[in-house]
Amino acid sequence: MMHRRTLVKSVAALGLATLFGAGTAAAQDKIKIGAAVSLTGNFAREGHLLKNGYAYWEKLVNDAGGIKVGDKKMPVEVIYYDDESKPQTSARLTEKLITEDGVGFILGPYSSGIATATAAISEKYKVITMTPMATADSLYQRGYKYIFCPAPLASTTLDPMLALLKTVKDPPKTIAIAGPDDLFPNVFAGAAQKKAEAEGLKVVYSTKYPKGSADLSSVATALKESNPDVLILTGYVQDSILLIKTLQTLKVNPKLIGFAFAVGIPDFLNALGPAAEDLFGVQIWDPALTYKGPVVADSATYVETFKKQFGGEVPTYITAAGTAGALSLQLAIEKAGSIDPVKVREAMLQLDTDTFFGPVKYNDAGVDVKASAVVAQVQGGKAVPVYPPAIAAAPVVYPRKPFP
Amino acid sequence: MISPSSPSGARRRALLFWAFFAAGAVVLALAPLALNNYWLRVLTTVFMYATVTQGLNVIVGLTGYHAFGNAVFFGFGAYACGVAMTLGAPFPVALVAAVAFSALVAGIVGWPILRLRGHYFAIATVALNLAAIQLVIQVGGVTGGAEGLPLPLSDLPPGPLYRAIYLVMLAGMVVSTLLVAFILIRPFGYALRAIRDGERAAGVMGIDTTATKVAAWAISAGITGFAGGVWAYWITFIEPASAFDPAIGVKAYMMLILGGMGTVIGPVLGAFVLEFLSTLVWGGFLQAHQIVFGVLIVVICLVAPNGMLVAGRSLIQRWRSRHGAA
Repeated sequence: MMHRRTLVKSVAALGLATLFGAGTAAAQDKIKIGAAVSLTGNFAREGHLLKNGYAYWEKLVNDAGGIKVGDKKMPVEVIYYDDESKPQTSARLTEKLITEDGVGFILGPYSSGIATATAAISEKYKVITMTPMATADSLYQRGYKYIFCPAPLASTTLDPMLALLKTVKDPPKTIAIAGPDDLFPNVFAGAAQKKAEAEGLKVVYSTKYPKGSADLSSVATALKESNPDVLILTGYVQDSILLIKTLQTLKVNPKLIGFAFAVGIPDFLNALGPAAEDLFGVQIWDPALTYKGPVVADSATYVETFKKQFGGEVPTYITAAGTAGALSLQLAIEKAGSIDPVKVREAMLQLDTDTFFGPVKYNDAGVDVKASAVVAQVQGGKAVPVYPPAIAAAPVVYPRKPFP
Repeated sequence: MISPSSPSGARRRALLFWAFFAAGAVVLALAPLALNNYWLRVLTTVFMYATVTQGLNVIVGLTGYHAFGNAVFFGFGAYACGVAMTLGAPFPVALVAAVAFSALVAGIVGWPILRLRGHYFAIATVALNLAAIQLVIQVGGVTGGAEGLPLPLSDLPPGPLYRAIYLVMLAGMVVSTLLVAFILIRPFGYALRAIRDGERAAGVMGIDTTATKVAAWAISAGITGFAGGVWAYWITFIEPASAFDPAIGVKAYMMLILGGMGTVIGPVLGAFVLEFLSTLVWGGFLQAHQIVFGVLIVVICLVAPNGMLVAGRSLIQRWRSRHGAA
């Protein structure tokens, strides 16, 4: 009896000792990273896509033995929480990640509104936060020093589409801009107008229609009268489909029609059928891109290895941006040879390289100044990257064929 | 043997209650010395919801008007504070503006819609909540419109800043609770309960029911606006969709039901139990937490539909009668 009790005690003590021993060893050798993303609520779908992008990187790094810090390799551990698509919850979780879980870095949430709440906390603690899916310019105008976004910001998303206009034969002279009255559409429209004027185009018509409008024939009629060479639509998929169908009915045919979203998505192509032909869209990443870089060799490798890890799931631009954000962090840590946030920040600002996602060069506000969206055009029922020229898979078709 | 309903027993119980209340407030006020920033934030959230629920208690619990969309004043408070601070006002002034603006809106909107009764009033407040989102987007300008409104940042390091916000939010909860207790012993409080129990009869007794209801709603709005104003400064960036989130009102309603409508301490208890419950539940699951939370709510409604206080009291009575019989 006595003997057994002693045995139990010593086994328990041994167990505890190993537990604590393992605990401290792990704390020293692991890089802890926090990620509060939306797994439920409004942004549940986008949050999952983003989380997969982070998880892909985590596995990739750990399969290779970890991140190289100085002369040793440190594995990473990403701690995930669900922010319920609410800024309030994200703030609480960020606080928990930093003060309770002791993370040294944060991989940010989906959407600028939530990321602003995250960054308000992480900035106070000087914890570097990658915000690949928060592209509202306002977040980067607050003087924060520890946030970094590898994707182009909202105000520059349409820039390549407008830059493309100068490169076509017999360039267009007039432009019209239309979109719903909402956060991103307004930012896109404002930036497009400025850029168009700078490029010497005449803005002949611009309008904001109420979000969720069921009838856009007044906009289409106004467009018929102003007869622009180029039409830029800053809206969402549903209202854009409606407007294109209305333009088709009224036989309004600008020489170029461009959207602020990816035209390759099935909803859009299926709804418009042949009317989608020759339409332009922008996207921050496309599997057909040909940039080459460290860790993930290129987009083709990315898609292939990602599909293997996630049971055939094809990565989206949200997923790729997530991986790219985590990848920037890895490159900066390796360059700094340290996980001290001040040193990593300095190294981050010195990065000037290409990755599978695109060129990386952060300015003091954490904006990737070399990041550029990709312009794709629907050609033969498929979205094909056409601009910038370095990664174009096909020449631009201009002017477009009139609607069938 | 003093029976629970005798006057001296009631006085003793009231004394005991306020002693507990004071002790609780002191403990919470001293808690920042011991707690880390995460638990401070959890508690600050509890105080915020307790304040919002106490605001709801004034119009729903005391007056009997079901303002489902009462969290609209949370948003108005947040935006009033945000706009005032953007225009250069210091935080205390902006907070006063938040309370005043919310109360003013309730006063103005209350005159027409508090003439509605029953479901119609409840639906009107929900409509008000949805309209407010569109209003902010349409007004644009200083409200930031659809792009949201960033508030000026504090230079304080996280420790002192979050402790200050904690104490302000705690003050909101304590003062609003004292206010409800004060209203209950004033003629105004009797008038409110008379309206709740029979509005026509209250009118016959000489109560100006519309003015009384509007005053109650303005107080409710002011309390809710206070919580919204502090929240805005705390979170540093507000958007129409997050400031006027109908879920805030729903949560406050659940806390009110759980704690007990029309009681002094019920809203505070409800906020503590529900918010801690949701924080703990969420900690254990990554994705199923909202389902677990939903099931818990249903269980609470089944077990304690009149609030924890009533459920607890009847449990004690049942225990006493069983032991008395034995």
